[in-house]
Amino acid sequence: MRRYAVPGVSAVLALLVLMPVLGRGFVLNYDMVFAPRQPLVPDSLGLGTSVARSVPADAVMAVLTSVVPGDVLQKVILFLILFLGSWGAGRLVPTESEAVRVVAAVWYGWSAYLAERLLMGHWALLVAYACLPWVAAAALAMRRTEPRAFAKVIVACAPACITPTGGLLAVVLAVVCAGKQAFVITVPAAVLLNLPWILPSVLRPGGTLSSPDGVDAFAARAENWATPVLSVLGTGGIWNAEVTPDSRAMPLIPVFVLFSLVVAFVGLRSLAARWGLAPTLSLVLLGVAGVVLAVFTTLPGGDDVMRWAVTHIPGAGLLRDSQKWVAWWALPLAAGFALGVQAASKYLSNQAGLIVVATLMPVLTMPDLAWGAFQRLETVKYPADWQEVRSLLGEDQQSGDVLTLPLSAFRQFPWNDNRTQLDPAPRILPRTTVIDDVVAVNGRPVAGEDRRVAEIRRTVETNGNLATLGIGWVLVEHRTPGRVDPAVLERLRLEYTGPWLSLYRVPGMIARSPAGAPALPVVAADCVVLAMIGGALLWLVLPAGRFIRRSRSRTAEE
Amino acid sequence: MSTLIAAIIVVVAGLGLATGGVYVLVENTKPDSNIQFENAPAPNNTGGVVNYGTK
Repeated sequence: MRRYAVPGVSAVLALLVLMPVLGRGFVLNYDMVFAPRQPLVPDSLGLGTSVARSVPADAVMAVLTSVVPGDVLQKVILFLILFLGSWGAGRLVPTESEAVRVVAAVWYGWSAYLAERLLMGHWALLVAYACLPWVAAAALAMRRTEPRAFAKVIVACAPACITPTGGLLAVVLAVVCAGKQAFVITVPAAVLLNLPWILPSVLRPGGTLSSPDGVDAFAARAENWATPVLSVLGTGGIWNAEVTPDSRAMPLIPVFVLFSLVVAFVGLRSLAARWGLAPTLSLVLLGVAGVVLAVFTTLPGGDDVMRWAVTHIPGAGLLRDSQKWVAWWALPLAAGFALGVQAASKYLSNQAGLIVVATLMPVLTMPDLAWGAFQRLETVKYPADWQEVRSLLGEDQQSGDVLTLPLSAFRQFPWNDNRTQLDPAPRILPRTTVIDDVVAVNGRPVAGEDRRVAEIRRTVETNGNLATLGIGWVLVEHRTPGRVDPAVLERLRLEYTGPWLSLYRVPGMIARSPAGAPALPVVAADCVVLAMIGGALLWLVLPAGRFIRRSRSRTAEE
Repeated sequence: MSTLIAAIIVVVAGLGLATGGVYVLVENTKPDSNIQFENAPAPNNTGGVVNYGTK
């Protein structure tokens, strides 16, 4: 009965957040886009001209949605994120008390980080967040040289590696927790697991330097009267005020954060006594590094250094939305707080009361994560136009990519309650679909990295010939902000029109689309990584390892 | 054991009360989105930009 307490509470937490969105339909907010059946296009593997931000997540989704309907898959993933994240955190705490584990589970599973990233639609990042406790547990087992721990590390890291930031969050934690004796194994494995996005990024023509405009735009922000440092120490502080739960602005939140830090500090000393100093220090120092990274651009001179880095160091753009790295801090905070509560309970007669209060604290201080973040998350259905256009493009023989207009990466459709959402076209249409990669923050544009998009934008603005850029189709999305020049459409041939979408054919000879990263090394790396994950799974499932252990122990006995 | 069960019950009940109460409040106070949408003009071709977010 006791051992079901942590998974039970974790499931209740997950349901408390997701209950209103568990029906059929899609949750589409900011960066979260799921489609009924996602196509496997070159961009899914990072072989297009766009930056490999969602690689190999898009390829994984394409494979999974060919088996499971996209909306069902989305709900399963969201539930597993909340359930496994909490459960993993509770399981990680070295204590005999299930109640203390429950405290850690709730603190990890009801954090500002999770709430803000969920509302921001960063589901793939949250997959990594959910993996972190399991990665830490497996890596710590590896440090203790437990059998099959390395296979567990690979399996725990694998889901996190579907995006660049998630992959780095997981593998760095694994390397740090496994200790320097294991570097010779963990570091190469960490690089291998992330090859599916590293290779396309390195081999991409045009490099991966980013715009410095995004440094200020995506810097961590203060959520209340205190500094960004305190917001970040409470695992919040995302750059976008629109996705911050209103409760984070409460005047008492900084006091609550400071209190939790004191309790966590007491608990981390207790953690060091149980785990040993080195593993505890590794976990805590990595957490502190995450906090420093997150607030770096808000410190004097920090933004200048970051501006230089993103414009000169390939891949440094990963550090722009730096609050993502606070995920490393959430784990020691939750475990430390739970053990701090346990230490404090020894001095109180009403231990149950203390545990209950400690468990309820995150929920009571941020109640607006419950019930789909107070119905900010809701399910909607795609209008039938999307299916019509998808079918038409799938059946037509004309080559060429699809361009979506108005030129804007984000949409606000009345059929989705006018929520801000990423253009869903690239994840629905069965061809490479080009969307604008310039994003606006506070109305100010932040430049993208794709040179092809810049060229297409210039061509649209001058009403040039899109066919020369490999564009064979233009999709106009209606009733979303942004202007479409009628003169651009006059050159095109209307093939379909509905209340929400119009599809135009670009007449004339369509040029070949510009090449992205070479396919052979990227696909080969993907196969190696798949084999590695498959091998680790087999090592855990098949009895092969056990035979070896038995024969070793028998040899030792003899 | 009984303390643990009691604690879990209190946690679940607390969660239910807290979120249930606030849900009812939010349901009662949120604006009627249908009315807003009916009156809203079609934004296409009206210029404007969709913000990724605000600081």
